[in-house]
Amino acid sequence: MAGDIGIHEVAIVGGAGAPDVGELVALVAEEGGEATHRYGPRVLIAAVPPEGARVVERHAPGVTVAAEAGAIPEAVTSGLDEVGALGLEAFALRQSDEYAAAKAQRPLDGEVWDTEEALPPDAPAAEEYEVPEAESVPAGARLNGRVAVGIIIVEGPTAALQFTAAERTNAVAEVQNGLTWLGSLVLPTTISRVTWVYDIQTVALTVNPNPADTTWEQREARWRDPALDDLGFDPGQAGVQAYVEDLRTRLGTDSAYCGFFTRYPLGHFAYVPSIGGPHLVMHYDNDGWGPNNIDRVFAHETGHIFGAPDEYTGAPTCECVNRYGFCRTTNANCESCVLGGGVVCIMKQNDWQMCRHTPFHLGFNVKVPIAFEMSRSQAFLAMRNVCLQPTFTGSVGPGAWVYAQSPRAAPKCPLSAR
Amino acid sequence: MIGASGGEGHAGEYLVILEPGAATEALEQLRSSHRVIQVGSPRVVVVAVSPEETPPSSETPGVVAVSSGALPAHMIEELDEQEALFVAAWTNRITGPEKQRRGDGLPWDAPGFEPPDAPAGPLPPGG
Repeated sequence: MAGDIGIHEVAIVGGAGAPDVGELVALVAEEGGEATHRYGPRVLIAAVPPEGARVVERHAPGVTVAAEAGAIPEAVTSGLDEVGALGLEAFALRQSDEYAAAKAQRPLDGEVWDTEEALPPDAPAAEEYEVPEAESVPAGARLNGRVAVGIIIVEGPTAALQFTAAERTNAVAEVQNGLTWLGSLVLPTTISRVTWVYDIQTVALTVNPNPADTTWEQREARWRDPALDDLGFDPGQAGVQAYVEDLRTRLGTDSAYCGFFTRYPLGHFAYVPSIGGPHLVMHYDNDGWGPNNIDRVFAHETGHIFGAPDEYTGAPTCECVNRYGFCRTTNANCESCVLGGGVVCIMKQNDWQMCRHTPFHLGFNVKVPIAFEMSRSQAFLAMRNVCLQPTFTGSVGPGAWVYAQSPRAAPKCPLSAR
Repeated sequence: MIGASGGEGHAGEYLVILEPGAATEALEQLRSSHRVIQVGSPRVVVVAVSPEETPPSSETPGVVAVSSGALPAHMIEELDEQEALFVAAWTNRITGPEKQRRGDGLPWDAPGFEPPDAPAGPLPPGG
């Protein structure tokens, strides 16, 4: 039995070349069961009685049905896609002794949700704690293709607000380093191909900081709006949006965002005003992390620009309920949500690693399913599983199916010929 | 987990300078043969080359120079301000000493450090 939820589940795994396990959902139901989780075309988790499980296995050549993940031969799981492998891995984890032991010792087991010993699972009032609106955390664009990056170095009239030539060079080098690492995570056989296309601006202002600025926006607006004016754009968020849109158009990219570097007083040394972008702000000194870590902090903030939540405890987006990013998936490596605190990830710590959940938030490293032999409904599900937006053209033959990388984008690529 | 090998991300990078008058065509040609990872301007690009691949050639039509280190001074003089800054930054990355990082590997909210994201709410008094 997987987990501690009292349901007898089995894993239904198709070998290479076997029919899509989605076709077995109806048969599982006929046998008195229910398909509970589907992970791509080859892995289905179902709650089904043992006799029903045997019927399913007999009915589908090339498909293995097992109550224990460890009983599935390697020959069957060979070449499993990433989503399927992850689903099967999770099923195995839920069957492990470690998982069972943890579940047997649930903190506050049986307590009411509004116990004084813990926060309730529902969001408290907005004035107490800022949490993203459920199911609607903005995703920004998919991290793929040509991405325009505006680097705007904003200097002031005094020495304390200025950059040396070496510091300007270092800021750009750090951004190059962080984004080169991020782009290097592209896996073969995925549709992701990232090229960073730059616009680099240095703006020298005469305006001084004002100690009376007491809000985040006041501090940012003090230098941001004159800088935008210098670049020929209106003040405020609208001006930032216009600059970024101009970047995207002028540089011919799929998406765009910008990062301001400054030494003006900020509300915090590094932040994005909102997940999904379009801009981030960094103080060159980079607080206690120092300028040598600008690359990782910039990569981290870029993660937010493309919809990824934080994964370290205490951050408002490190929670287990809401869905984030392009693929609208939960924050499954959030330190607070995962057994053992999760794995190393740029969204969690100062390191050059990324967990396997953040790519889904970024819409990154997506494998396009081979839908040539799929029916319309199968192709629809397969593409939606990897966050592609399928479109049926109405025609028959080559080009009958196309997909787009987001609902807003025009269909781009022929997918199948059925 | 991906990217577990870490590293500072500049192994196998080449800086390519394209002819200003033929940069668009040359860049398209370069894209068809190599992985272009950074575009500093229409004529200044960086490509990533794996050990089994051949680096781009300066003999290719439309290509002025291919460099795995510092560019000659006379070439830098021909670049505009943004391009020169981009090239200087790239050269620093490639030729600079190994990084010494504060807090390497620590969680962003490790004791003694502020995380890089803005805490919610108003600024603290005197902040």
